[in-house]
Amino acid sequence: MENNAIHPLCPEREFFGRRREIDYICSRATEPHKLLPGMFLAGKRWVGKTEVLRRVYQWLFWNQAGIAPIYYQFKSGTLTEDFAGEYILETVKQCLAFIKRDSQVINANPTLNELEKMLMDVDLSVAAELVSNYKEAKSGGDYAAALKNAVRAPHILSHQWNIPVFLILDDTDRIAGKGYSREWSAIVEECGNLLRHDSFSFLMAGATRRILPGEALNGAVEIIELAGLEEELATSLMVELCRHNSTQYDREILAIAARKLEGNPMYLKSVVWSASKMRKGLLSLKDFADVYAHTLIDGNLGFSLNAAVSLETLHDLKVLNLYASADQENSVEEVSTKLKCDPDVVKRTVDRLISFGLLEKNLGAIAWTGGNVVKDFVGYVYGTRVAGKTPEEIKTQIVSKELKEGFSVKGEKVEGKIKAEIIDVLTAFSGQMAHAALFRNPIQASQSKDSLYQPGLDEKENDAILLPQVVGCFGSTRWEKNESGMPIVIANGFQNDRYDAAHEVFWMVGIKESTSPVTADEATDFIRRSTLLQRHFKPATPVRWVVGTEGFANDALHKLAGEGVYTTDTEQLGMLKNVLEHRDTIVPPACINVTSSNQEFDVVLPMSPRAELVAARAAEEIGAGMGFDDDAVSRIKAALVEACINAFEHCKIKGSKVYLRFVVSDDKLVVQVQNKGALFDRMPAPGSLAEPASGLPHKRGWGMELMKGLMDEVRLETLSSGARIVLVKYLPGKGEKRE
Amino acid sequence: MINQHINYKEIDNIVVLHAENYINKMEGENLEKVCDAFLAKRTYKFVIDFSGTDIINSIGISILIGIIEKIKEKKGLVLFSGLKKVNHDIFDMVGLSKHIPLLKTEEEAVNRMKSGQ
Repeated sequence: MENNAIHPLCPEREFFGRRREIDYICSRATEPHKLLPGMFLAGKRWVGKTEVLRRVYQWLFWNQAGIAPIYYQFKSGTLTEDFAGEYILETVKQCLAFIKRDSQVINANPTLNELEKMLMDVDLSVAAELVSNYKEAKSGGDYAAALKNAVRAPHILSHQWNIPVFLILDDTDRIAGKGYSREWSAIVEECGNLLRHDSFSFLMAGATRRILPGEALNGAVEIIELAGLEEELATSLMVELCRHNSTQYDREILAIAARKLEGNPMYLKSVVWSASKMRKGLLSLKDFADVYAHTLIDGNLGFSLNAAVSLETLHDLKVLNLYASADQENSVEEVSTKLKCDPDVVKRTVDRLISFGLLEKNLGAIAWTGGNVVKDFVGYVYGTRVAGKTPEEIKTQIVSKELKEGFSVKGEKVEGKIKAEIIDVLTAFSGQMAHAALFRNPIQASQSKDSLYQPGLDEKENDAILLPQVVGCFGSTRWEKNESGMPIVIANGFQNDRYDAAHEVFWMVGIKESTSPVTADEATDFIRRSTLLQRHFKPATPVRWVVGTEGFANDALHKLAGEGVYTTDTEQLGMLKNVLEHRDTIVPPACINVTSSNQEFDVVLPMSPRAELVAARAAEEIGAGMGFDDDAVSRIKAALVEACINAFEHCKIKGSKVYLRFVVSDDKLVVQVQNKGALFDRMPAPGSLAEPASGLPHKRGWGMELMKGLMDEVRLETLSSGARIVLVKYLPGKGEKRE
Repeated sequence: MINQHINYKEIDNIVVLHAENYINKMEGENLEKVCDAFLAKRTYKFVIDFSGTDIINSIGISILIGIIEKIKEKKGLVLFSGLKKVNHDIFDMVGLSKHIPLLKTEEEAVNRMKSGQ
């Protein structure tokens, strides 16, 4: 869009997240019948209003012919007579450009005399006459007539050319701020009269909701609030800026920065530019705090804020600081009492601050609306000018505050992340066996009492937990009105491929998402609430689990272990998630103290002819080593070959592999065969392999039947990224064949 | 032409095939080709000896069933011999042992074929 921009636009790579507003305004502007004559775009300073307005103008100029857009941006410090000349020039040249469909008329920046000549050349005598009348009034010293002529120009042009005008007025709070002088009052009155006229519609933008002094238009316009960019968009903008400026960054830190900077594009850009200028990355909270303090005090942000927050006296600063640092609303009288000064003086200051969009008046109470960044800036100015602090002292305070706030925000952000992770983990449960060590946070050695642990009902062996097939997860809030404490997620599922009430399982998972460990009180609270939930749901198998991102206090662990509650910290959760999502094999990592004497052997098979014989050879070695006799070894080999063939056959991913894990324990050999594809052949239904009419057996479909016949146990498991078949063979005399 | 990869011999109009160590799809099809070739030559008596076979997979079994079907269609005879216990059990599981006599040795199988029992 910037290629044919009429008014300057920011680069597309820096423009994020305002499409919805622009589309809406454009559609409203081009409606044939409008319910309201105008719109007001309200938003804090530098939030992106001007960019929206200019892009609306741009779209209306190039993409439709029904209304003539005119854009005018009020400026600070413009004299009344200068405003009139500039306004009529902008109005007439933009109308001419629109009629001629030639943006060069605007970009050529003609003088009034040149414009008058251009109008005569194309036989637009009405517009030429308008310009001529203005010049005549001005040269005759009749500034009021000149002003009226200028302000009414869009209306006259619209009427005489029979093209409705869509007037776009930017930074209107600048005229609101000037509303005290007689001259500017005249402008405001003229603008108000014009905007109330039915002949055209308008779009205004300002940092304060008070559209014009006297609130003449309130109730007659549609107010559109423009807030800061949403966190995700603001983060993306910062990422783009960092990339463009070759600034190293950590996305999580940028997200914290985006939140702190209120999604304000100018603040976001200032911080990245400062980081670039300081040759500093945005890789840590400390980096951000340093850069933020620098740009606020010595950099672009401070410079801009200093210009925007126009403070005329020390009194203004005191009033501003009082509102900025207050945590509640204050009336003018309250402030005058606190500052021991005349209420009228305070009122004048407050009115000015309201016109800057820093304060808002509501039913007599006045509150700070300037945001956190301006608050920090005011604190800096007040601290150095009034409280006698040095800039370095203030900078240190700001950095320290940012680190604390950022750390807190980081903690909050971890909350949602961990909760989502736990839900992912729960929904990946699909009848796997998981090592119990992942569900038992170790009690510190000095207090370790393994006897405290009461194994859950689904704990199959000393070292393994049978995970259910989870069918869904939901929060507990509906059943726990008025309860506080750690949030509880409930996962509902079934065990052993049996979908009846007797095999229904409820996992109640408490999540402590904080920068501190689970305490004994929190453990007690979880036990109480989960017991109530258990009574409500009456599951055949209730399982309770607490995940503490920062671990557990020892007394909390004792309480939870005593109740048979599983306990997992972030590290264990990460391991569980990893094995569920990536390795799909539930084995304990070396760092967990596992008492079992299990041995494991991993074999990875490529999808090549006779690769299954490699698995058979491994099974032979391992089986013989365990003491299985030749026949048992042959049966394991034959079953394993079937499992591998099945895994190859159902693996649809080209170049994929089949993963085998041999788990050797005292009484049995467990072989897991896993692919990355579809399900293995299901267990054949009874009688499904009956002999056909020829009398001979069926030719196909014997794989699963053979495995079942050759091994003691065969299980099929569906994984998030594939499927797994588990073969179990017990050593004679040490285990039992399980039906 | 008879497949040279399969170790076989002819004894009094009886074809004795020695199966490979691993009967999978490829080895099963090789056996099938040899049988087809002899059937085409109007030789209808077969002994398939599995004494050198450690593993027979389910695809191999399906091919063996196909071979049996073809021989039976021609009113021929087929005997299996030398099966290791695991393979014997597998044949039991799939029900093949109900249709095909399973003899301990190749010699036993040939003699039984000769005697016409």
